[in-house]
Amino acid sequence: MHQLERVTNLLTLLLSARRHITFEEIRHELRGQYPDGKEAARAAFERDKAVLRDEGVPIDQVTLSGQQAGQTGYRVLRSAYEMEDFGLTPEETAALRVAVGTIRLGTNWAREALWKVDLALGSNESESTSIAVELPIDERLPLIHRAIAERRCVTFTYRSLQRRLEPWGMLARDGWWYVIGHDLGHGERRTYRVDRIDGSVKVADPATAPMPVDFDPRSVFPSDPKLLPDAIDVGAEDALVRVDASDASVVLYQYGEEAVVKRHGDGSIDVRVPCSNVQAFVNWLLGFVERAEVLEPEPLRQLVIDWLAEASGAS
Amino acid sequence: MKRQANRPINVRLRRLLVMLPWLQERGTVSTHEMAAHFGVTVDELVADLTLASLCGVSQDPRDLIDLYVDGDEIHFGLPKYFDRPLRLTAPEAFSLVVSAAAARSLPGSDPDGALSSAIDKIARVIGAENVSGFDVELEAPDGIDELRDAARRRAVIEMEYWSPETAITSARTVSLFEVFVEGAHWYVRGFDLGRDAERTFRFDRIESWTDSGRADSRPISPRRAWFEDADDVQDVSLLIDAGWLWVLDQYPLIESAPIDDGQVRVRLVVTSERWLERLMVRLGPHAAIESPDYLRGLGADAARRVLARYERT
Repeated sequence: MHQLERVTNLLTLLLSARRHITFEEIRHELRGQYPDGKEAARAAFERDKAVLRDEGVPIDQVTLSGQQAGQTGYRVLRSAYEMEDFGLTPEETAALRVAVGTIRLGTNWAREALWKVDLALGSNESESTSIAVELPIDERLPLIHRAIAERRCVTFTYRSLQRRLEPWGMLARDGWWYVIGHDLGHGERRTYRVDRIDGSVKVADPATAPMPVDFDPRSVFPSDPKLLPDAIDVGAEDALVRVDASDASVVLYQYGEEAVVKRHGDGSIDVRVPCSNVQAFVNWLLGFVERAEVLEPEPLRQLVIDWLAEASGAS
Repeated sequence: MKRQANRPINVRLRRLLVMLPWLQERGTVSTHEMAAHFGVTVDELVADLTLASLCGVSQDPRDLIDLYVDGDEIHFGLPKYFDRPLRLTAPEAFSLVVSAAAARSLPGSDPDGALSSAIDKIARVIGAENVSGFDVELEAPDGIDELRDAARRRAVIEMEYWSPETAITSARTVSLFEVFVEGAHWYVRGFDLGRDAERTFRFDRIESWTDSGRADSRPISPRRAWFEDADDVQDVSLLIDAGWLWVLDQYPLIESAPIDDGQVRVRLVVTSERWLERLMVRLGPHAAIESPDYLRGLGADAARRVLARYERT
């Protein structure tokens, strides 16, 4: 017998049961399907239960009393198993269908959700939306989300260190997901990028620290990484950068005309660009290779020169 | 046609539990329609439904799931066990709500429209805390909605496009497929009529565009992995200090494996030497090209070139 057949039979039995039933009763009802030996049968039953639980089937488990005292009884309550009716209108369902077609999460979860939501109507055409958002997620995000909803801590490893975080919110920015919360190890607010977490996330104890009222994850994030202060101080918040004519339009697109300090006859421009985060600034600047140059402040210019000297093997 | 794959039992069970109530809702349905809807082959569908028709609380025919496959049609009889799908799992509910919230923040979406009322209704059932706690930031640049509208009517556009490799702006004629955002950038995908190939363009490098007035009806191909449509690609292997991997965050890697001394060996696809120069200059002393041999000196050469500019001024 294929395990899928036995698991399906087991589920029909648990859903139809009027009371909690024991493993022996299940074995009797599904006779011939579990191995003969008691231990082998038990192991197969445990595997089947794990398959059902992993799929989200709510198996209710109790310790029985009376004649079956001490034995474990199992049952699936229809009310806990069955998908609720959201009461969506056809317009709302259609809008969700378009949303699921547009936002590409890189998993099948949203589509599977839609199959359930969209049971009666259903459309086998995936919508062509002319616009798409690539926003990959993985199994750690729903776990962190659940911890936020339930106000619980999460534990995970980040840069080889074990962290305990009371998460307050998540933010997707530039295609990356961040979790922001109260770090119990550091005793302060911290932000972690979820895809950089090593391995799995575990949901742990209830959170204890109060969460800020109306916490807005956007408020704790500067929009330009060059604005995030880092450990290097070059004595200025802005840098003066000369950009060749060939690349001027890209910089203007990014910073606007108001950043322009001077326009030169050859089409090159001098612009003011934030440099509070020196590492992010240098990374941005060097993206132009030889078509841009930092003029001021002097310590920043020297830092770039030293960097280039080292990279060219001259040091 | 037959796909010989051992589909995992959990995936088959998950499908079955949503297919059965869906089928019950319809009574009779064609195998092709149902297979297409659930993204399985007809063979897989028929195998799973045939198996389901042998399931029930006992082997008494009255207890079995009441369905049969007859040629190209599937017939469902009396409902017995699976009247409704299984409740949404946490990943399913999260994904659905994230999709709705993200789509609502796209240009042209009505903030008080059907998506918002759908989210409100879902919140009423699964709890407000399960539809909140996250924020998706999607800042669409000015002009992206005009381009999206042009893609929707399958317009052929003429654009002035700046290439970072050559620093030259050239005229391109493109039959639009879609606009999309990935990472920090918006892109336009389409068929470049001049180059007779599919191309992806970064939106902020389009200096101007106009609708040619023509429309195209060629089929829109699904998006492929980055660089699959590039002409000339090179597989490059780098050794990088682990602390500097963030510079590569936004690029797809073929593989990445830690080696000794806190270094990581990374393989990536490179479509132009200019691009690789930029990367190597940004990584500076924290990375080296391992292979191919002829590119080893590329980063140092580029760094010397930039340095020469600083020595002039």
